[in-house]
Amino acid sequence: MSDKTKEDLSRRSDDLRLEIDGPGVHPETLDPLATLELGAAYLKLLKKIAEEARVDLEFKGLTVQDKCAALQFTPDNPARAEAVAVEAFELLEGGRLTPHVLESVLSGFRSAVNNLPSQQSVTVLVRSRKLPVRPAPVAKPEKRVSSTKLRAVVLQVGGKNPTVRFVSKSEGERPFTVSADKEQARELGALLFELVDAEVQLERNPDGVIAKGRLLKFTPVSAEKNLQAWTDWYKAAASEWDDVEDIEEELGRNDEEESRGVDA
Amino acid sequence: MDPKLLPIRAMVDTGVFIRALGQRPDDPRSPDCRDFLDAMYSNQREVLLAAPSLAETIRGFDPPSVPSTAGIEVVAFDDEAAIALGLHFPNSTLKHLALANDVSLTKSAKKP
Repeated sequence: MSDKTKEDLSRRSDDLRLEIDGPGVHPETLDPLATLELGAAYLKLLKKIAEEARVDLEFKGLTVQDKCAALQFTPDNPARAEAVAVEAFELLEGGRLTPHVLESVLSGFRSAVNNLPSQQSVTVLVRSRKLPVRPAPVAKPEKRVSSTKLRAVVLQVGGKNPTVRFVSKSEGERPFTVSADKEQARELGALLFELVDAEVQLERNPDGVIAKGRLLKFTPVSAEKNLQAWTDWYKAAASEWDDVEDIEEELGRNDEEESRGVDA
Repeated sequence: MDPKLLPIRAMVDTGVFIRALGQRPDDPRSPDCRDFLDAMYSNQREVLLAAPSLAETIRGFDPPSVPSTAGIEVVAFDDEAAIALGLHFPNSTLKHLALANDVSLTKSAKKP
């Protein structure tokens, strides 16, 4: 075996392959646009992962193999390509939380996979690894329940099982309705179109919009003309701060900057 | 303060809040903080204080109820706020903005 042949074989074994499998799949039958988009999306994903890890990863060359059909790329660092491909695989499997900066490229690759004909599957082959790309799991929307406090205007009160309709800037001015007990409903009836600080237990839909809730308690917002109420509160609750020379030091802000490596 | 330069709504940090309400004659930043809060109040602007900032401010075991007054609103740091911050302001973005504007992430003054 010549040195060139040995070199070719060695290089090929270090190449990364994106294999498309399915009935009747051959290079001649591929959808060229979907296939090239798939390859581009995958390389973008790998390069972004490498960029975030602050390592260099380059690919050269593109061949289409007649093995079902496989796009083949030659990485400049095969070991690194393997590590990055494994990380991509773990992210695609959903076993790890996706960093924000990778969401776009991950989503782009998933879209490209979904654009292939439905009977086709994709597998990444790198060195000794075989990494199947599974279709993205369909997330079951889960309700979000939480308790919070909102400043809201009382729009409407009523009903046999009393409910209160509020509107709040915190909710983008979308009115929402929560249940209340009769005593609360009576008191709020006298506060129509007034501001209250309402403590509520809420259920939100997957988009974050309030679906339903329950009023826990509320406080009318007083239209004070100055800061006196807060100044009086500060004297009773927080005046020890007046003896603290360096507020930020006391709050530990400087410690946070040092640990984050932010130069103060 | 020129009302035209005031924001419609502003969230203040713990340090600003303490300096605005406290008696700190030796703190050179206190007068500005007080003036800012007074100006926002008298011009019907909204001041927001995040619940964690309120927690940092409170000292003592039996504080009185927090006032509910127009003009200053304590806003909850709930799941909705956490998701919004995490999505739109991850730490990498904040660091990038801080570097680009030559400011510290947590200090209000510009770096020398």
